[in-house]
Amino acid sequence: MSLSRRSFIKLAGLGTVGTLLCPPVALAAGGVDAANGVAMLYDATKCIGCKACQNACKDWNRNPPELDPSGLYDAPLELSADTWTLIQLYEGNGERSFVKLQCMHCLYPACVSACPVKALQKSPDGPVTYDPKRCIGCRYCMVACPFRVPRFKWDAVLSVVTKCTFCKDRLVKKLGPACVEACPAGALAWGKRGALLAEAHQRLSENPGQYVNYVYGEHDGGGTSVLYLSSVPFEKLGLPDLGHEPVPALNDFLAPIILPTIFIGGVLTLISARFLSGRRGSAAVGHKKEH
Amino acid sequence: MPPKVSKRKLSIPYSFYVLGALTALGVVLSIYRLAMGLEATTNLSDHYPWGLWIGLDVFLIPVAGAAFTVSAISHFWNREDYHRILRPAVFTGLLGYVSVAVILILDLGRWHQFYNILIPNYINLHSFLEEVALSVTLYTMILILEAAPTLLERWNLRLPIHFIERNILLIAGVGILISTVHQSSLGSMFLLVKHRLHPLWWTPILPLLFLLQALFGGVATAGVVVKLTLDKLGLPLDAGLFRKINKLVSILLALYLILRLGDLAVTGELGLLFGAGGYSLLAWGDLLIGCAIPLLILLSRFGKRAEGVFWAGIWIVLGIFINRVTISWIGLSAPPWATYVPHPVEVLSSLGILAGAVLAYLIVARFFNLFPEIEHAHHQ
Repeated sequence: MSLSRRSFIKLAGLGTVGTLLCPPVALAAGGVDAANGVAMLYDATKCIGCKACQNACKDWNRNPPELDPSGLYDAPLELSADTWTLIQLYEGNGERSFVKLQCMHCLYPACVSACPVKALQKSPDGPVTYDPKRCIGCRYCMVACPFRVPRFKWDAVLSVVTKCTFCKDRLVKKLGPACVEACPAGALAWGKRGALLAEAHQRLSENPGQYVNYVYGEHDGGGTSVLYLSSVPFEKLGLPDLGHEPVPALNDFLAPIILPTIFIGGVLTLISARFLSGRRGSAAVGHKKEH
Repeated sequence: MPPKVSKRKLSIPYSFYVLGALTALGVVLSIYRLAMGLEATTNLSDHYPWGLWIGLDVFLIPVAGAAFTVSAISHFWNREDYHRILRPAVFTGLLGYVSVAVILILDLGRWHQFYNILIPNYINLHSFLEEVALSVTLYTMILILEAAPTLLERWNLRLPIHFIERNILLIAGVGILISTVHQSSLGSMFLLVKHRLHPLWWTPILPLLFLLQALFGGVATAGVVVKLTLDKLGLPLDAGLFRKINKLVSILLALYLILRLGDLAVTGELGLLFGAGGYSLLAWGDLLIGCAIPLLILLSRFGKRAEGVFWAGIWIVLGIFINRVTISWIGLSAPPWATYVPHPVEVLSSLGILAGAVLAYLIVARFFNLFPEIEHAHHQ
């Protein structure tokens, strides 16, 4: 059994290396500057439901329409691979409000924590970006997103994940997001997140009673880059109550801890088990040599 | 060297042809799926991004835990009786993980670049899925090493066998560590979907529950496979070993059941066992089929016999299936109008892959020596 002691040393060394490979890392998107990143403010009380934003998004991103049965209108009912932003109408209890859906560009995106290959990343200037060259199409991001934003191009042989890009390709040309620039009603604004939050709170204080006294996205799920004002409770618009903790908080807390812990614990357990039971004299490993 | 395989064992039974035909169908459908894309071959959608294939993978991984559990007890706790069933356990694990890998490739929308999981600067250390994917790849290679001597000895290839046997503690040790990590990481994957997974199943102790399932599920699976193989080969069962398996599985299963119920009690979710419609029913199925029934069998007098351990194992595997499919597919919320029933290609390709794994195991059991120590003793 001379082989075993050397193996133990190798094993112990491996445990150490394994541990060093997993240094403690903070939240995946911990370096984001919440105040200075780009953001969008959607004021549902000003939205007239014209869907100009929806069409501008399709135009800029060259996404095809999803035609209604008459074949005359682009009439998507939900976000899809071809529809990255959508205006929906809520009506009930004598209240009505439009609501705009698109990627929320979270400050702590669950999709970014989920993605095994960093195809989804939180860029320091705000947008959550997607790189199809990295993506393996596992769809963990779709399951992880609390807003159900990422959609899949199912009808392609090699699919891609699709979602609002915050028009990152327009931002580099000093243009605003296509949807914001198309809005004729002043319901959409874009700029630095800090400035938009100030603007949102100013509207709340100047028009008491016109709004639910809350800026959705300021703290929800750790904060998002799309902020909402509304006269109707936000849950009714389909915006979930996520609490203030970042959605991936538990995941990102455990990821750097759990692996090294099991690795070190595992090495110690195996070594002590081997030595303790080995002394009792049964030699299972050397058994075959008896034949 | 193992004794010569008798002529009787070399005849090819009827079941091989059936399994072979299913495997061939699986291969054809798998190629068809990769060529045609996901919409043509699955009923997955934006509301059900994960379905049968992911469910099967999340189920097969703890079942394939047969290998690392028996390997740990055999190599590191030095139990000779467990060493006698190490080979069938290793092959169960290997074929399980190969099935997992094949099914996973079918599920990937961009399978042509699945190797991206291995590219160092793509690796996301926060993604438990990445951790699982890396581990499955690495561990499959380790299982190939662990399984190789059984195959190589037939052609008397001493050099590689000698190399593997000399380093078996290191190889097995690394395999056990990787397994422990990824069996729990598979559970950690679902920590991120709290907003989507039904509260009867979401809990912060998912990593611990998943690891426990792999421990008792792995040992129980080994018991089932070993009982079936020994019966088929006409070799004697070691009643003492099955009593030990009974004891080990009972303790771990009882611990798991206590943790499950305790967690529901602490979070005040026990009431959901009654008021949550289909989900309550699923949870009862999960707890009764996977925990209560096998535990009762194991504690009974029947359960102390090999047959008892076998039947308890069958219930346990069934329970793990219900539990894992619920967590990775059925228990993930979708809008009320959305539906998902697996497409025939999803079902038949899965069946074909599993048939291929069973066929491969039967071939190994028939033409190679899975029980050198038992055969040796038996033929003396």
